[in-house]
Amino acid sequence: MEVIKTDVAVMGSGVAGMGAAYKLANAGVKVAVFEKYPAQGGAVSNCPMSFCSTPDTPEAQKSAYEVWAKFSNYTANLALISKALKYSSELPDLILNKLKIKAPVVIHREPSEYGTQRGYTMGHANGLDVGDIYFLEGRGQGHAFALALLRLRFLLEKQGVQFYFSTPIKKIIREPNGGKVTGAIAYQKDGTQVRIECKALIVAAGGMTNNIPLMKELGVLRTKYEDAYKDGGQVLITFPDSCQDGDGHLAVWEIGGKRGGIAISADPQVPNPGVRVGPNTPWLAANQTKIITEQPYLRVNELGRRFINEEMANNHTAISTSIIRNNPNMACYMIFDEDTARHMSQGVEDGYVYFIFQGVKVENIRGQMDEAIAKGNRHMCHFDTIHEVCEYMGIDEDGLRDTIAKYNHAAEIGYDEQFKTNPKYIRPVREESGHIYCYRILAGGYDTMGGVLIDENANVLDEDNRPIEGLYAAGDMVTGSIYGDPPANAGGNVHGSMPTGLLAGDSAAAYVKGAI
Amino acid sequence: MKLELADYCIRCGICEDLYPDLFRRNYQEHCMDVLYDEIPEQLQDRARQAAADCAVAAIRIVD
Repeated sequence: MEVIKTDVAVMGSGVAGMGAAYKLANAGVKVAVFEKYPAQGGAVSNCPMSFCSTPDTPEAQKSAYEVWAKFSNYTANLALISKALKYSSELPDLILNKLKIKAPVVIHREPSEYGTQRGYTMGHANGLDVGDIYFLEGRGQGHAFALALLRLRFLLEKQGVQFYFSTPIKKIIREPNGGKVTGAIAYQKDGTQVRIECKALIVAAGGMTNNIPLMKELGVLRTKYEDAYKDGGQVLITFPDSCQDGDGHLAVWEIGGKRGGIAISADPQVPNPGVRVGPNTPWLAANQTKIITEQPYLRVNELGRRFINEEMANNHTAISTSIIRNNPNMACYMIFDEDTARHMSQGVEDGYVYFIFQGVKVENIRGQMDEAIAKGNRHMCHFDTIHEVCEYMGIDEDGLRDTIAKYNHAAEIGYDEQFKTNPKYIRPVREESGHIYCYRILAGGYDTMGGVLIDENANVLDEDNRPIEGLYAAGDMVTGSIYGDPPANAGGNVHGSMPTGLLAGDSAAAYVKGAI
Repeated sequence: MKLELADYCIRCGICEDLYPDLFRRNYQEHCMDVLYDEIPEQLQDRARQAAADCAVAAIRIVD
């Protein structure tokens, strides 16, 4: 058995772990980073092209705090929100100045506007819409955070930070009777056990998207479409083989850490094949499926019932969370007829498309579908009749016919009794139009969120809400403490993960120096 | 022409998505594999483009 001694050990080298290591290194603390994967990056390497930063002004910080506190329905740690937002103000300096990532577009927003965005029309969903938004320039076809974290790794290595790749931590060592954490057990690639002796441990191990059995066991995944959640299905769009297996959660829970709720980060997806060009990269689209399925038209669950005001169609948080909480099999169905297909060919609805696609026209939906179906996709179809659609997709026909009758009536009278949806988006679904189209949309996302709860110092909490001495956590796994428990938020989580990582680094540094 | 992958490759798989004729994910070794020792002449332009498209400049062309 090998023994590694350090002041602080960090489990995971995604945006949170790297943020923590950055603070620790700058504090002059000896730090070692243990990563299960052969390279740094975590979930974030497959995602963000942008980040949100709350400026360090009283107006901005107060407005952002209120948005997040309300967004969490006050189930978050409110003192933590306050600190995380303060740390988010440091992101531009770190990412743009120290890591030399260019931000060709920066949208400065008034604090009074925070929390008002419906969806991704400007790049961030409403739960994360609490500051200025920086759009970054990546290299080649990649998104910029992959490059940012690689540069941060090289920067930290120059500062003496030790990285141990392919060396997953599996157990946390805690003194008996609720004592402090003093180390961890990791394993090298050849199976050799490594005993880590440290004064503090920061767990920033991300989610568990690579571990479908664990997600099922914990109730995070409840669907008969679980095959679509495997690598390449791109419903979970952490890249394949990510090694995110929930090791951090299991290790923390084993030594008494409180279990928080876990949810898949909200980004509704029509699964591959034929939706993206390959199995790895969510932003390389093979067709216009994502654009089509964000239009504000009729969507129902397997019972054939509407479950949300379709005006929320581009609000990833709203759609995905509602699918998870209210719909069988974590699925919903977008249904429209030939007239609406023709309508989309004239142009998509203003505000219902990611800002870089504004004004786009959806051409040849039937051809796009046929191509994906020919590649084996069973999550979309088009038929002449509603009966055929229901039979193929497994939707209750009586329920759907009842819903369509009411929906078409709402279109006729210009009033939606159920959800008060804006009449201009209520487009009737009629077999007489000649054709009916349907997409199955699953509750997907970039990672799982939550599971471990922390206090305002990023100290991991025990079942009695007391901090476990020497144990800190950050990143996707602690989002319940900033977005609410269980967490519900959309898309990549740089805004939450890096600030909690920076906080955990500062807190652990202060702890090992005896300042806490 | 040969293609080399730097050990800092983040295994994001952009190369496999865009150039499946040149790269494939290796689940056993948790890495990306280059499918050729010597890149065939007809794929060399694609190989150069793959190097340019990499998110972290991990694909190196060795002539």
